[in-house]
Amino acid sequence: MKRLLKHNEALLFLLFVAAVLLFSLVNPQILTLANFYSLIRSSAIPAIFALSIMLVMCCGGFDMSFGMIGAFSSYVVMFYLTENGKLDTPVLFIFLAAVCIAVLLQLFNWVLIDKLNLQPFITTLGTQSLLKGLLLAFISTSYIYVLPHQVTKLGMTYLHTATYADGIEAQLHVVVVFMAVMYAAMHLILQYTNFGRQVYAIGGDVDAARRAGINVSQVRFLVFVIAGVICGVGGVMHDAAARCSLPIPADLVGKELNSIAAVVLGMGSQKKARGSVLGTLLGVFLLQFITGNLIMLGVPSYFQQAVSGLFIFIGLIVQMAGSGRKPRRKGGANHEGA
Amino acid sequence: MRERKRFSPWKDKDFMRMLAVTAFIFAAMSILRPQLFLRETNFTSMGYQIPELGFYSLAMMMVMITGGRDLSIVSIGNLCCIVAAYIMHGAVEQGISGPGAWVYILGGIAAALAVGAACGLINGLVVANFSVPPMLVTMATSSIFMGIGIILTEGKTVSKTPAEFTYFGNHTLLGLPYMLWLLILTILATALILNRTQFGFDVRMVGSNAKASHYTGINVNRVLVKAYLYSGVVCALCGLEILARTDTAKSDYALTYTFQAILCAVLGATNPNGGFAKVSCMVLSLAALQFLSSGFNMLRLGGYFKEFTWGLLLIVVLSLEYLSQELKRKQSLRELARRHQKKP
Repeated sequence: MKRLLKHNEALLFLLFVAAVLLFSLVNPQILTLANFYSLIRSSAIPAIFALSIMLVMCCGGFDMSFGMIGAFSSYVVMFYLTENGKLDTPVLFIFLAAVCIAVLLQLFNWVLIDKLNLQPFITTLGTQSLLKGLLLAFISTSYIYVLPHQVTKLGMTYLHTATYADGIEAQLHVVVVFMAVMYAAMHLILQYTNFGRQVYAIGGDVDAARRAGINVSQVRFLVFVIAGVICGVGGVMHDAAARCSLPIPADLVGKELNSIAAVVLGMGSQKKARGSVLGTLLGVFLLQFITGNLIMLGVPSYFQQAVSGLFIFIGLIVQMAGSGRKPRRKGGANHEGA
Repeated sequence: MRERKRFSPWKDKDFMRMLAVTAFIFAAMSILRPQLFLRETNFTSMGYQIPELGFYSLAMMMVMITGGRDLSIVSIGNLCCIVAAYIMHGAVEQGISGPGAWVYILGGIAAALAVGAACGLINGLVVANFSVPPMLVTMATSSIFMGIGIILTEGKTVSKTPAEFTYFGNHTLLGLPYMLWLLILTILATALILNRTQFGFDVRMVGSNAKASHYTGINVNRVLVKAYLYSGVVCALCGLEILARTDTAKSDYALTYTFQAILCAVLGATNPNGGFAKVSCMVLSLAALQFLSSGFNMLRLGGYFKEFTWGLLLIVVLSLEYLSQELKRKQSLRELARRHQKKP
């Protein structure tokens, strides 16, 4: 048991279970299959995006633009297709187009961060603002409610349906499959491939990795390409699940820090090599569960912001307080190291 | 050990570069819209608009010198604004005016400053004592501070403060708005603190190398706490400024200022890695951003276009800085190589 508790993932899982049990004492509806399905539905998209930022953070980088990149790539594709009346485009092609755009945008980040050696946080904040302005000022500001048919169909594909006690239905959305596949693939890549180990090595110490003969620039290139793929797929899935495409969806852009908090919760107090796939998933679920179920506990909606902030705050301190109390500092270098 | 350089702006490269950029933007806007841009009313209205971004940029700059980021500045500002508005609103509710109202006004101001200081203190203590990256700390506290604001107001807007207070937000003294004077005073104070006090020296040392400063006997934690405290108090000033000018307080007012403040600080030669900042450059970049913003409005380019330009500006400035440094490094290397060849 003690050894299990040392494992951050196990600890997070226990915390999650404890939260579920505690919440369900107040409202037994929380411990139903239907509520579980809605939890999955609300966590799947944030989980996909959290995976992208996790990978970037693993190699010591940082990204504030992933939500915007996902939204941008998906919106541009949807806008082009609906404007030109090509609503019958196969969904595979839509995914491919969005992924291409997202990869290109992430490579723009890569050039700035790796080639020009700029501060990741500030640079990607700049990218975010740039893309936001680009989309709204030069492309379009309209909301798209009629999506290509196959995307609409994808958004209404359910694996299973469960009902709450009062008869309201909740479905297991197909997006969970995408999420699961991506997480499994990422876990395999990071744990069992040479590339994955190199990512962790760079995240631990760039100079040491370079001296060990790792081509840092090349590994980072791949990291940003993969992050772009995840953002592209996530963007399209977001629009499919929301059944509309907004230029600046409020649940993606401006909520980046929630995903980052989930990643940080997941990585625990290991000092150097960081970022755990399973931990990230649990972090996303824990945060979504707490913020999503406050209403079911009877907490007034205007308390939500403060309470979820408080949870993130406590979580961060508990998770990171153990790691290196020495005068490391150098500001945010822990996560922003260029 | 400590070497004091005489401040001479004309020899300062960063200052001259920023001056050129500001002058260029000013000239461009004047040529494009001469009837509108060069009018006195335009300058007065710019004088009313500058303080908000100015205060937030100062707050961001001080934290950036330590190598951190303060993402909670806008939330702190709004929270202080709300607290002050509630207290001052009491005077209006009871129909008090004249000297009686001043009790409420001063109470509101004191409360806002206290709240700002407390918020900054929380940020600073956590950043100093736990090894959580400052950016994540301030992001979480930002959510909490904003949440407290939402709880206090239940999401509504608080308005109506005594006319004696809002007078200062909407009138000028010697041609400049009162709040611009407040900003100027704050800027001067910041410049003094940074360049002429022990704390200013320490804060720059901590920012450039925390470990080395620790070994030279600087109390790193205390310096960090002070920097965040300063940031919180300046945010409180900004909250008061917003209240005086708009007579309303809202928990989600102007959230984009966080990004703008970072942009303004970085444009103003603040090193995002810490250890280096120039108040003079920041003042220029503040003016440049305001000229740009007012000019875009006159050219009828919307807010979206502004956002695009800000992002572009940030990336271009950072890239240029890198390229010029790289160029300098290569030149000096070549110089070294040449000298080396001559010797034998």
